[in-house]
Amino acid sequence: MLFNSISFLIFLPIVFLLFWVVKKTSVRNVILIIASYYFYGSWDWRFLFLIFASSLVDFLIGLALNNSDDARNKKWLLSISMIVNLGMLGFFKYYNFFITSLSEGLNNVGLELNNLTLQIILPVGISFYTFQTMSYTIDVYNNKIKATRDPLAFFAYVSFFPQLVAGPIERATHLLPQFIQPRKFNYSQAISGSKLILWGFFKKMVIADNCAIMANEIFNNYEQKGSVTLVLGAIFFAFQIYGDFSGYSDIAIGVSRWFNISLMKNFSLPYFSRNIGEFWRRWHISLNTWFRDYIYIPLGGSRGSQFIIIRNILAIFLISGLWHGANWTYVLWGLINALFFLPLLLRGTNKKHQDIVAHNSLFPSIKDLLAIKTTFIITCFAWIFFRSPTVNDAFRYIGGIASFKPSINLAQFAPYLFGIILLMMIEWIGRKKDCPIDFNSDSLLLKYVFYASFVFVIIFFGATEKQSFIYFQF
Amino acid sequence: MKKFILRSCFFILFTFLLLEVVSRVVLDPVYFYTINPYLSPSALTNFTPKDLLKPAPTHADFLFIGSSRVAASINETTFVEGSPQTSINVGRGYTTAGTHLIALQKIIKNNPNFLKDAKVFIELPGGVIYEEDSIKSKYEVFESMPHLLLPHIDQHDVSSFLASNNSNKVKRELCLSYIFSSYRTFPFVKEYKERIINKIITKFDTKKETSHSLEDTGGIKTGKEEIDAVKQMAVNIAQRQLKEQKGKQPLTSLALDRSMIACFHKLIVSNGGELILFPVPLHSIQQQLYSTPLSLTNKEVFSKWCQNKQIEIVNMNEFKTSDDDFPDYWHLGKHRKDEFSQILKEKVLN
Repeated sequence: MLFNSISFLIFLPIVFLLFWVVKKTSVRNVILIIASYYFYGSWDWRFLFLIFASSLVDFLIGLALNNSDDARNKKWLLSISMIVNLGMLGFFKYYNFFITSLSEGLNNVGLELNNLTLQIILPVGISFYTFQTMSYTIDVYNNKIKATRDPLAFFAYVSFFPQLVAGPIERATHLLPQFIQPRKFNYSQAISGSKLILWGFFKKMVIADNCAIMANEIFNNYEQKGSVTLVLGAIFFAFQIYGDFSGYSDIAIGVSRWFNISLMKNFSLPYFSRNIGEFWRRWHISLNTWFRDYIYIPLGGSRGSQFIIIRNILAIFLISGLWHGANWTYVLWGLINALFFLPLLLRGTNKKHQDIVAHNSLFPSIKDLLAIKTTFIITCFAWIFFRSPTVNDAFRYIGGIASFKPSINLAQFAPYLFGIILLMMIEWIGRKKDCPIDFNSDSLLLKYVFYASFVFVIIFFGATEKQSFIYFQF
Repeated sequence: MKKFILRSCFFILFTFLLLEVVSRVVLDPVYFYTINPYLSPSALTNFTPKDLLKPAPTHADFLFIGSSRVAASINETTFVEGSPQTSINVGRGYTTAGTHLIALQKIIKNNPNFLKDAKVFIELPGGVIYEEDSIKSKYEVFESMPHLLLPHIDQHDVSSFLASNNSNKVKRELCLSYIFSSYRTFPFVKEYKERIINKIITKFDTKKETSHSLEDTGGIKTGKEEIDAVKQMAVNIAQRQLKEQKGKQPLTSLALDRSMIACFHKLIVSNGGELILFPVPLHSIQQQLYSTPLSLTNKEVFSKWCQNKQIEIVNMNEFKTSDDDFPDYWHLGKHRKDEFSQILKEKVLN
């Protein structure tokens, strides 16, 4: 069930009303679990077994960890959780990739491996909820959180439908208590959530889906395109993936607020970043902080020798690449980002620019503007690897840009570029707000007209061809 | 929570009403202008704002009725060159004979002299003109194009439409489009946007050529990819229709008396006009449908029936074509449009 579908527009108000009509927290959690399982099962009911198994294993292991004082025993329990979760993820997402890569590798040295690939459907959003359940077990193991004895709250935490298939990937320390404590309806939360939902739909349907038309056309036929067109293709993809993913996150956060559940911010104006370090603090925040907390810091973080630092950075960027998909293009994308990030870390400038650009002024300085531009170019360069079907295609795409072949069809991009400029302008103006389209006025009529005009734009300028959310595949 | 629900409902209602108002005031005039062939013979994007201010015609000296084949074959201005007479070509793709009949009945109701001394041309073979003029068939529309009826119907027609042979989906579509302006203009704006984008793309992208041999009018598709699809459709439809002919009974003069064409004839003659039938040029794929034993028998029955009714069928045999004259297998290329129109004019006026 896509957020941008009629079925979701019917599903959401029903769940919302049912949720608030009942008073008991446990019954509310039951409603959320049923709704979430229905939401997830609408893709394929067989996926439900996976999420149920993952939730059950981590719930029981959490309890067992709580009841155990033996460090060795605890390690074993944690290992079981990791094996089950990463085993499921590895099998469904990476089995064919590793078998194919192994087979190709052996072929290169003259050995032949029989075809061992399997017909496996990748369960939607498996990477998201697997990481979310793992975070719970790791936090219980590290005594950051006490294991819950409330299975309903735990199952609701794992399956909560707004963020189930594409995040934000929540931590048990933040989200789980919200399912345990009694909740009251919060009017201002619900209103701010509605604004975020509207903004998310705008980014998804007007920006991402329209940019997708052009990005797909260019990436699918890159050999016939001129250099400038190829550059524009990378830009369109940059905004497609941003509008798509951040749009989804905003809708998820907005919908959660209707239930008075707060989710973490997942995107914070990443294309206004002044270096790649800042970019990674603003892009897919929930995943990057997950990697930081559960992989990078346990590996030693930025403490230790330069070799250790480089190893740790390469590890998290390569794992991050692989998390996005079972393809060498993602691995290379991770590697490129690591290579851009490492010099900043080694120079100690990766934590520069904590505030949003032009925090105290209307316009950025020339220096900031140049830094934003450079960061954006670097990001787009990396996106070429992310979007290309193979590594070879990515290099040929870049070769096409470097060929300086003339482009003859630039005018067609004007309406799409206008959309991108509009998005950037709105984000710039509203950069200090929780939601860029938060419109303050005493007049209710003015507010209604303002938000209704966004609805019009979504209805009339949303792409005709409905595109699925990119991050579902991860 | 009550406040939130109330505010949300008010906002939805407000947005909907605003959308309806904007749609009715701004979009409806353009929408009805483009889908009503009596107002605009041209395609969706070929109009200027001043066209919208033009009054609807109150009289026609020459009226051409039919499908997009009529739009492709007839240059209506040929018939009125150097004279103050009015010539209107309402040939439009995906319009049915029933839709044209309803449209003509409505325009005559509003302008009783609309057809006085007019020559009304209807294409042959002309789709379902031989079918019975009943509510069930008269209101039948193409599955994807119920909106083409919209400019010509009122409340009474909507209730008749509900009794027609159309599927429930088509009935629901028409009712919603009739009641809600935003419902009808929403797909229109989307299509308009797509067409403008395609226009830009075809102008600047050499890969996406248009067929310069087809007129961009009356719903005719001119993009290269669209033409390929339309060609395939022509082959498929011809094959299907050839199969369907097997087991069909030939026309009878009694059935023709109750047909749509009889109704057209009655309407035109009773309003002071003259009905003229003319064969539109066809590609061999289409032509084969009218060369089967059943079609030849039907042609004979129909010719005799027309003779009895004193309806003229123009002989256009001297207009020879080859398959190359039909770039999409359906429509005559624009390079021969004027020639065909000129011959038809000479045949009828001399």
